Amino acid sequence: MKPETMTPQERFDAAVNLRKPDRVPVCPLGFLFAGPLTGMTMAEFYTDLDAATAAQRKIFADLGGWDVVGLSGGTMTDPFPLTAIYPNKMKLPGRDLPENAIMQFDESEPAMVVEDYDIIIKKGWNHFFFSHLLPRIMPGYGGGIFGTIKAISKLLRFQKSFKKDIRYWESRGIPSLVGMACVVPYEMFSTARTLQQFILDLYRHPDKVTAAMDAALPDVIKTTLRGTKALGVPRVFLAGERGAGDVINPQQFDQFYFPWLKKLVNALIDAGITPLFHFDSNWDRNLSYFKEFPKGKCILDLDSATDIFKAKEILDGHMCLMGDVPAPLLTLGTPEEVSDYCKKLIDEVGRGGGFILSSGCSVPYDAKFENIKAMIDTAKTYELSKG
Amino acid sequence: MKKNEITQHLVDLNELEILDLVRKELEGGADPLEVLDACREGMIIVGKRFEAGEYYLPELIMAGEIFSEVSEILRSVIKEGSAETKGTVVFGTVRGDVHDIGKDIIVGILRGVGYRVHDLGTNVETEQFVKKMQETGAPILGLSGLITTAYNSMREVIEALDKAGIRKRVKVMIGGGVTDERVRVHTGADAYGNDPTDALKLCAQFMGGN
Repeated sequence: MKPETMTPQERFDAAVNLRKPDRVPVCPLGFLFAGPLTGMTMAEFYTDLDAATAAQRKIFADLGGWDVVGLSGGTMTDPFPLTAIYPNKMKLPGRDLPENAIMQFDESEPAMVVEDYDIIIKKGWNHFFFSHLLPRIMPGYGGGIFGTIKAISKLLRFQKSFKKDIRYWESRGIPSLVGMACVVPYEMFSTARTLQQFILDLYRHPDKVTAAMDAALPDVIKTTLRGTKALGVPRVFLAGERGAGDVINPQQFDQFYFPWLKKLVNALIDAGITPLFHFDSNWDRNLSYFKEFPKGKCILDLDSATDIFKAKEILDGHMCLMGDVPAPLLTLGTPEEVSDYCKKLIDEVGRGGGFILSSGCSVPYDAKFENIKAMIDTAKTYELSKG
Repeated sequence: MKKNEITQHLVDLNELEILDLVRKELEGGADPLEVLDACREGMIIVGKRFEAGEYYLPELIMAGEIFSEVSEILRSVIKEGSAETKGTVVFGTVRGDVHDIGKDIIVGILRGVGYRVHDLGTNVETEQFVKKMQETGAPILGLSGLITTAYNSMREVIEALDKAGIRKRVKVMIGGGVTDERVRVHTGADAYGNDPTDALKLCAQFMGGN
C-alpha cells in the first residue's frame, strides 16, 4: 500500500479546492453514534456534555480516527443553538421521548402566527426571535431584557464550549468541518410556522413573506459572520431541506428560496467563508443552480436523497461534493455493503478530486460500529492499495 | 349544480372561489354528497397531476387544506357515515419518532380521494396501533417514520399484529425519509413508499386486491 502524503487538513483543503488529494478525505458526520457505542443512553448523551464529549473522543480513537470532524461537542445535542436556526419546540429523549430516541423538532403547532411577519418586517429577525418567538418555544428565555440576557448567555456558553472542542481537534491535526451554522429565512420561517402552514402562507400572503425574508436576511448574515469570527473556523454549515425539489415547486424555488440563498452565500464568500451546503432531501431538479456560485468556493453535502452521481455530472470541476452513505446502509447493512458503496463513490464521485466521503446526513445514532469503520477504512486504504 | 366548476376550482387551488361557490350551492339546495364528490374528483386530478410531475408537494398541501375547509362546511349537512368510502386506513408515525409532515400530507390526500383515515398522530405506541386495527377492522395500516429509530418500532408493530392474530388480514405500508427495500425487509412490511403517489397506488392495490 502506498503511504499517505498529506495531513488531514491538506487532504481536506485539496478536496474543497477541487484538486485530487493523496486519498479521499473521510468525515462521518456528527457524533450521535458515540452515545450508544460507548454504553450511554441517548438521554445521558444529550444532557451530560462532558460525558458526551469524552465519548466522542473515545469513539474517534476506537475507530482509528478520520480526517475531518463534523458537528462535534454539543452541536447536535444542545437545544439552544439549534433553536436559533430551527425555531420551534423540541422533544428530548428521556423527557418527551423514550430514553434511547434522538432529539426531534416538534412542529405539531406553529410557534409563529401570520401577524408576526409584520413584526419581522418592522424590527428584523433578531428582535422578533429574542423578544417574541423564543419565549413561546422556551419559556423563561427571551421576552424581556432579563430573559434575553439569559438566552444570549446560554448561546455564548455553548459557543465557548464548542470553540474549546474545535481547538482540541485542531491540536491533534484534525480540522473541523464547520464552525457556525445558518439557514435562509425560508427555512427558519417554515420551521416556526410549521411547513404546512408556511406553504399556505406562500399562497395566501406571498408579499408579506418575501418582505419578511428581506428584513430577516441582514440579521442572519450579521449573526453568522459574528459567530464565524468567534469560533475561528472559516466554513459555515448552511443547512437546507425545505427548498428541495421534492418539497417546493420550481416557481416557488425561484420566488421564495434561491434569491435569498444567493445573497447569503455571496455575503459569506465575500467575507472569506466557505459555505457547506448541508442539503437534505432531493435537490436533483435544482442542481444546475449551484453553478451560479463561484467555482471552488463551496461544498455540497448530500444525504443520499439527491442523486450524488448526477450532482457529479453537473458540478464536476465546479463544486466539492460530500456524501452520501445512506442511513439504512449504516444501520442495517453489512460492512461489505458499506465498503462496496464507498468504493463506488470514490471511483465515480471522487474521480479527479473534489470529493469528501461522508455519511448521507449525519451518521445515525444506531449505526453499527463495524459499518462506520468500514466507511473510514475504505477511505484510508482503497485508493492507496491500488496499483 | 356547478359540479365541474367546484372540481376545477379545487384543481386550480382557488381557495376563496371554491368556498364561496360551495356555500352558495348549499344555500341553493345542492346535494352535499354531490359537492363532496366534486371535491373528491378534484383531489383525484390533483393526485394525477402530482404523479405526472405537473404538481408538487405545495399543491398537494394547498389542495388538502381546501378539501378540509370544504369538508368542514359539509360536516354540518352530511350525515355521519352516509358518504361512500373507498376503504379504511389507520395511519401514524411510530414510537420514538415525532415527524408528521409526510404523514399529514398523505393523510390529507387519502381523505381527499375518499378513504376514511384514522390518524393516530406521532410517537404512537405499538399497542395503540393494534388496538385501532382491531377496533376498526381496517385492512390497511400506514406506518410513517423519518429517522432510523423508526425501523425497530415499525417491526415491533408488525410483530404485534402477528401476535394479535390479525397480521394476515392487514396490509402494512411503510414510508418516510429513510425507508427502502432493506427497511421493508427488516420491518416485515408488505410495501414501502416514498411519496404520496406511492401511497395512493398501494392503497388502491390493497383494496382492489391487484
